[in-house]
Amino acid sequence: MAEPLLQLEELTVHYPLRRGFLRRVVGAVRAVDGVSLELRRGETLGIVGETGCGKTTLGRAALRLVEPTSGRVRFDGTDLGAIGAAELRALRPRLQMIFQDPGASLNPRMTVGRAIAEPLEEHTGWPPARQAARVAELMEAVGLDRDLMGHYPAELSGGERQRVSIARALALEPALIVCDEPVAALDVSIRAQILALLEDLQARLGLSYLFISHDLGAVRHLADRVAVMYLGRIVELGPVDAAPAHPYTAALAASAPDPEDWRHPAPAEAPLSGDLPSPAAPPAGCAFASRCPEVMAACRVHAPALRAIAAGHRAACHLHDPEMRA
Amino acid sequence: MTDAAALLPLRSQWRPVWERLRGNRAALAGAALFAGLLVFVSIGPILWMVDPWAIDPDNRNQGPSLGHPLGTDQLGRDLLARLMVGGRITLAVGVMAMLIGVGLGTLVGVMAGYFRRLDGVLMRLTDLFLALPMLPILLVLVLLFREALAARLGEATGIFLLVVGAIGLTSWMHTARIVRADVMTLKERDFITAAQAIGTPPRRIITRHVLPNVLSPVIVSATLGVAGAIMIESALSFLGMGFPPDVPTWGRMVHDAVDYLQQFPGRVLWPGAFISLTVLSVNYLGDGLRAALDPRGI
Repeated sequence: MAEPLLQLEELTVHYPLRRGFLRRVVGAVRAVDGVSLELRRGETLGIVGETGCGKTTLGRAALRLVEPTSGRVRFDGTDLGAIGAAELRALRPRLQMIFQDPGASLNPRMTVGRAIAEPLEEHTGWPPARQAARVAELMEAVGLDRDLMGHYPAELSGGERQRVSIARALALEPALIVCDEPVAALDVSIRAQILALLEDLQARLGLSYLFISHDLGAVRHLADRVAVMYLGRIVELGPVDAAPAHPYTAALAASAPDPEDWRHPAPAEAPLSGDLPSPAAPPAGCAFASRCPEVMAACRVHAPALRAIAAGHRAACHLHDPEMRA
Repeated sequence: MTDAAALLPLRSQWRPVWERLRGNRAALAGAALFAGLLVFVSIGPILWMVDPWAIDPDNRNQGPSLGHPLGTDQLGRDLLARLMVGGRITLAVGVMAMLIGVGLGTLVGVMAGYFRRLDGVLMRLTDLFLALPMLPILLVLVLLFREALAARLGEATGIFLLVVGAIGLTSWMHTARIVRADVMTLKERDFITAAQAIGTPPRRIITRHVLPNVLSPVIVSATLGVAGAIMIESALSFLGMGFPPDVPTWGRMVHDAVDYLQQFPGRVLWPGAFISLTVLSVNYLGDGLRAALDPRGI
């Protein structure tokens, strides 16, 4: 098989917790804790999980916008942690990002045209006329009227703004786009349009997406494979249409409304109770044990490792470990 | 700002600002008043050709008359002519000292807010300056350097630079603090992360994304800065530590007239009123500018 486009090896990001007058480090928030995964070329890998599970940090660390505490990120064979600033800058055009809130990801004092032209200005050295032509082309590609070029983000709707940030991300023909909750801040009626646009662009330009979302419907629609995160770790990684193997995935799936069957709302009874444990002091054993409906004695002692349960399907749960079940 | 921007079919960046400013009556009144003051001090002395330094012992302490519309001072000098010439210096000091103070404050604030490593050092420096009693420091500065600068650059230029520099160097701290706080919140915004993802280097992130977004607090600081600098210059002159006695500034004129406050209150009121009007007009203008420059049109 061809080399994957993006490879995360035991990626860990800890945020130090400082206290007191001398700002001593008293602990660390384990935002991402030893995550390994790979993204193949042309694939969409969904990352799902609750708020605070580390999925946004994972996306930023994958682009080296956040320095990992340990572990490696390989993009197209290059170790992003081993190269200097100049080489990283040269790779930037191929690694782009789309953010959750298009109102916050666009500079309010920059017109739409200049926002989309910024990557061109930084990396191409093209004359202004050629940049302008490319901006117009990109706006057309994402379904924006080119007359909006001179407008400020505040004058646009949420959907239009998200199209602007997509156009900016596409400007340098990237290979990988990290989509951090790209539709979460949009009206439901706009979401489908943006998802369709992302799908269409992927088909036309051969993009790979790391698609971060808590919206299982969007992930089901767009992703080829899904990684489920809980408290900084991956608990399950498998094809999008496989039956959930981890109780947490099952609970997530059960609580998500089915887009095909919207007349029947999600069960009123919440499948999960309680909150996430603190990522600054994760429990011994399985992090999910405190909320798991199928918890066993071993779960509170030993943390389960991610193990293969079928071809291309891995889960971190003692339920799938024959030794533990016995 | 860039070549690309020139060719892209953009609306003028300044037209909407002007449109919004035009709808703001307080700002327009402030602008008109400030323009009026500028005309008064720049063109006034050309039209009213009375020598503000001419001493006339026979006409001391005169009330308003045709020859002297605002009267004369204790040496018989024409008050109107002195107000005009004095205003030039006062306004120049106010604007120049503000530029130094706000420029320095913005620089320190952006550096401290954007680069975490510099934050501690720069903010302790700011605290240090804030903790010092400013007026005594100014007096010491003026006392120490007055002779040296006057000897090297000539009395008028030397004192002007000294006063402007001293006021500028002691009035940047509040701007620095406000700008730093704004830059720190801006830094967490996604559009800065987006620029980093593009590979925009820090200095262009600062000029392109940070500075335009801290414009509002900087303009507010600037308008307050003009007012503050005029006040400090007045205070210095009033204490006799600013410009030499024969140079009329509005503050100096108040100082000279205070002894005669009982008999001739007009001689304090006129320059005092001009100081107040300047401060007021700049504040209104600045507040209107700040609102007009906000693309959200608030």
